[in-house]
Amino acid sequence: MRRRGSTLRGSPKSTILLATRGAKLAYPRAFVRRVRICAPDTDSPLHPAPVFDRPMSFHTKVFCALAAAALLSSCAQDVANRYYAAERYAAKKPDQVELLYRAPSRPFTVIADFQSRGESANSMRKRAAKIGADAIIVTPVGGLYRVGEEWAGSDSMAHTYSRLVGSAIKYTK
Amino acid sequence: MKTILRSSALLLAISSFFGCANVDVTKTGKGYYPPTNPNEVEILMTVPTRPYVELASVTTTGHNMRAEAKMHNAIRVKAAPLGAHAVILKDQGIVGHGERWAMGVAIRYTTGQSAAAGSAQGSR
Repeated sequence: MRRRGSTLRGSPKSTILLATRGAKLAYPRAFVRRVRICAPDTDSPLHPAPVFDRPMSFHTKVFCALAAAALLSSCAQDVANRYYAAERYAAKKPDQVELLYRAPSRPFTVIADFQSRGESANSMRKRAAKIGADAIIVTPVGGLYRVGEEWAGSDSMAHTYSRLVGSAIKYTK
Repeated sequence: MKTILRSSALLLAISSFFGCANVDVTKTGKGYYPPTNPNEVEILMTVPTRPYVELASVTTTGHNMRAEAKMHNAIRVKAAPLGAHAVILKDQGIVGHGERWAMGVAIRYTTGQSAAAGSAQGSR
C-alpha cells in the first residue's frame, strides 16, 4: 500500500500496479504516470482533488502532436497508378504541369492514370510532373448523395468525393 | 407520449430528408472520357449487347429500403463524371436494419455518336 497523496514512481516500464486499499489494478504506464492517489480525508465533495494535476508528460505531448498531425494532414490511401506510354519522359517542375478539371481543347494522349483516397489535386499534379506529363485532368468521383434529391441531374453533395482520379496527358500537337 | 411520438416522427422525417447515402467509385478502365449527362445514364440489370468498355466499379450504401429509384439516381450522378453511358447492377440488397445497397459496373459504349465523341478526346 502506497502512502496517501504520493505519486507512483519506480514501477515496471510496461505496466504499473495501482494499489489503493488493497485493490490492485493493472494500467498501462502512459495512463497512470500522472495519476495521483487522493487522500479521502482531504477530498471534500465540494472541492475534489484533481486527478490529473500535473502538466502533460513529454510522451503524452508527442502522442497528442502525432495524433493531431495525422488528423490534420491528408494521408493518401489506396494509391493506385497505371502507366501506359511506351517511352519515359523527363520529369518536370509541378508548376509546368497544367491542372485541369475537364478535357483540354488540344488533342492529347493519356500516358498514365492515378487514383487515390484523401489526396489533393496538387499532389496528383506533382506525381504527373515526375513522369513528365504536360497536364493532368483531375476528376473527383463518388462521395455523399443527399437522399432528399429528386432529380438525376442534381447533386447538392457534388463537392464531396470518395476518391480522386487523375489522367496524366501529353499533348500530341 | 404524443410529444415523444411526434418528436420521433419529426426526427425520422428530418433524417430521411437531410440524410446522405454514400457512393464509392473506383476507376477500373483506362484513359479519359468526358463526363456524361446523369439523366442519360442507363441503369441495367443485364449485360447490353452493344460493345462497351468498363470504366469503374460503383458501390453505394445507406439508402432507404423503399428508395430504389433514388438509389439509381445516386448511381447515375456519381458515374457520370467518368463518362459512363450506363451502369450494370451486379448485385444489390438490404442489410439487417433496412438499408439498401448496390454494386455495379459503369460502362461506356464504344459504338454510337456519343462514344465516338469521347474517343476522339481521350485516347489511350
